[in-house]
Amino acid sequence: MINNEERFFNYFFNKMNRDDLISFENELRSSVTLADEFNSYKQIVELVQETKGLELNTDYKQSVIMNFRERVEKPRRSIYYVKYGIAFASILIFIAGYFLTNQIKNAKPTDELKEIYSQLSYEDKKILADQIDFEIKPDDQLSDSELQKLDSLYADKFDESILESITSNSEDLLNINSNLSDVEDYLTDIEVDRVYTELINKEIL
Amino acid sequence: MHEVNNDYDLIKSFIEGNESAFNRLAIKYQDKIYWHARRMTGNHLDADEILQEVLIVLYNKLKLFEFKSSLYTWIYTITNTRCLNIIKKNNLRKILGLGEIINVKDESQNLEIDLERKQKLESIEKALQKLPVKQREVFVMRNYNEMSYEEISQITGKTVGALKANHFHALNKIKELIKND
Repeated sequence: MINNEERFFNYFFNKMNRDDLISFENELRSSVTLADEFNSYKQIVELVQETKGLELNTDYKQSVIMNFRERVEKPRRSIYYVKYGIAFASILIFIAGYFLTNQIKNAKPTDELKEIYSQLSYEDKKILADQIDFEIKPDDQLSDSELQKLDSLYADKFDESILESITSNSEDLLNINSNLSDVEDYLTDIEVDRVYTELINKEIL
Repeated sequence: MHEVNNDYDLIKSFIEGNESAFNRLAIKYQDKIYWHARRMTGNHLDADEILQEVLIVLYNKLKLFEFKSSLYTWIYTITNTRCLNIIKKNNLRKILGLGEIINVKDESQNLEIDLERKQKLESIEKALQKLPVKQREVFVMRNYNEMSYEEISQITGKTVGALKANHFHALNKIKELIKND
């Protein structure tokens, strides 16, 4: 059939010229094998023809364009939303980034202070607490406001008001020194050295 | 006023911004797209989905159409590719055990059809679904769309020899399947 299929196809779908058509029909009458093949092919073609060109119902046909238009419009709208979404997200990221960088910048001295603070003995902490007015936490954790206060002691830029209070209360400064020297009694030499080293490094003394 | 209805003028009109020209193109080709998809996939839901997808592709890409082939061939190429994609997707769903999408609607609900033709349609659709995809596509294009092997080759990218061989096997199988139905 593979060889004759093209001829059958051309015959059924009216693609044969007149001469070929006459020649084919003559051959069909004379060859039983060809006629069998042809009839077998004809069965299929007839079935195909009967199920070909079926009409889709009118409601469905009309709904096709409507559904298509809906689908075409939807992405258009969503593109606008996406554009605005991206713009809004960029602004949010920028703001969040700004605050995050600031926090990271500010976190540096605070982290160092936390470390130093954790290395101080209870007595050292008490002295510091008396001077700069914050509570001693048993778990070595300071609140942000307390750390800020502590930070201001060695920060490059001293707050003027603190400077004023230090100069006006020189007695307090003496007390600090005396208190610090008292503390030495409760510390080993190594601990004392360490405290002083850390404090000198932080330009407190 | 004379109504423009040839593909070239409709496309030109659509590109110039006339949306109704696209609607006319869609109406002109929607049956052909639907039926090719329906014969390839064997069900209305997939055929409807393919029809919508093809229309969207046409809508978006029509501006790029260069008339190197006929619009008809181009539409068939897009439709056939979509059909193969959805068939692959459905096969994958079966393999992964996700099950087939069950079409609760009567498949012939969207057709103007009598009972006798409905039975014949079911019979041939069932037979077609039993054919391997390569044989099915050449059978559908050859017998339903009356395409030459050269045209089918242009759409599928397969050689004429391979298409003839596939069609030969498809004819024999369909014959057997219909006999046993």
